[in-house]
Amino acid sequence: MSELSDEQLIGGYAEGRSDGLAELVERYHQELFRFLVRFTGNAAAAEDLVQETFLQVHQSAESFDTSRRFKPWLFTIAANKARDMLRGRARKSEVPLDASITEEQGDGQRFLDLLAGADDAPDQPLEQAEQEQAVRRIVDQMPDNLREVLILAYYHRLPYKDMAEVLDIPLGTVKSRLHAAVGAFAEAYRAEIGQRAGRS
Amino acid sequence: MSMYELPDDLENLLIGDAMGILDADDQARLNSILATHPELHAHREKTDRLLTPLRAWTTPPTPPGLANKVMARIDEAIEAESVETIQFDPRPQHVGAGRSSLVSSLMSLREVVAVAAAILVIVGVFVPSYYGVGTDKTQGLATDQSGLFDQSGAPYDTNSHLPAVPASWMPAAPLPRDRYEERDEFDTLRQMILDGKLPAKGTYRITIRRRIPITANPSTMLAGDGSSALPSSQGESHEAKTDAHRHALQLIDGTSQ
Repeated sequence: MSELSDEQLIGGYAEGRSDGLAELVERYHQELFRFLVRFTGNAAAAEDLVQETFLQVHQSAESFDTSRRFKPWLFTIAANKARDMLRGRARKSEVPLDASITEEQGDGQRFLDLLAGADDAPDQPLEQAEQEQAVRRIVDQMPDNLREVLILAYYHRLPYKDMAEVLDIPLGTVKSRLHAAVGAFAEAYRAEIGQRAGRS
Repeated sequence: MSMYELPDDLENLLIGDAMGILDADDQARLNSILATHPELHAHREKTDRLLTPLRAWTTPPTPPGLANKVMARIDEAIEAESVETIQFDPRPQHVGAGRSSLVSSLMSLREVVAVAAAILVIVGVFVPSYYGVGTDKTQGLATDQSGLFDQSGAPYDTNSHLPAVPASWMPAAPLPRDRYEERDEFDTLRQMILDGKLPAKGTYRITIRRRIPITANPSTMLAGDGSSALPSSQGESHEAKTDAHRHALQLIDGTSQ
């Protein structure tokens, strides 16, 4: 069973081999949980969404195109359900975190300018717990479109093309969003360090 | 080559490389650029350093038994789907449940229900409507006829004849007035014979009598000198008519002509 690919498993499940889905759940439930925890900021909600996501996989297995890859499809379902939940909670503000580095990259700060200042930042400016708290807060305050692309890319190593498929947006948009997300994070993190250094 | 003359997507290549998400083609392209521009290695390291804080964000451990919960949820859904399928599939439940095998084999329950509904609509709506229309039509006709009776009353009282109004119970064409008059004369003659006032055998001459307006003096019809007060438009043979009446009255009086 474990030698079969994800696509073979879901294809077999659609044809009636019931153990295929159990194998896929076993393979992906942890990664999916981590993605949803970061995306929603809520472990209980993430647990529910994992179940909802695999339930949707079960219900839509027959419509899955086995010529495509399973993992992007799975994360597409999960991201959609997470967005629906977040919209329901009206959790996020629509105002971008950073107006200078945006998706459109108009007259905002260039990424290479951020790199030029990277030397000034100490490698471990904060304690581990403080650093984690700061990162979580910064990412959590990002707009949904930047946060999800940063999480998918950095924490789940989805290639650009897969992210385009998951998010249902053009490849160029994925690149520009990731570029903006990294820049926004770097600038916000630098500001965080600066504030803490000023207090101490 | 300066930093700003590099390919437009260099930053994306550096970010993708730092995150390990470049596909084989992009990775080869970046490696080629780095090989020709060694100074970019420093930017590559700085990009890694910018992203390093993200590693600090850990997630709570996966809840124990999450995979089992997922599968239990799916099993519940499968069970619910099967129950739903049984509930909404009428054939297994109704075949042989008192319905004739011919109907069951030819028609599904849905079709039987549809036919029954159609019959119900026909019986419950169309038939009463049909009879209702017939009743309304009859009532309307009766109302019309009542109106005609009313219309008929005044001219009949005035002129002793029915008006020429279109009524379904009247003959399409009015009977010739002469036939009424002729019938009256024959009836009178017949009644007189039956009463023994006239012999059964004999030749009697009857002329057609025109009706006299009610304003006219009936006595003028029987003027002894044979003259008549009738207007000329009342008939072309009032002379004969007055003769006939005189004759008839003479017969009634027992005189013979």
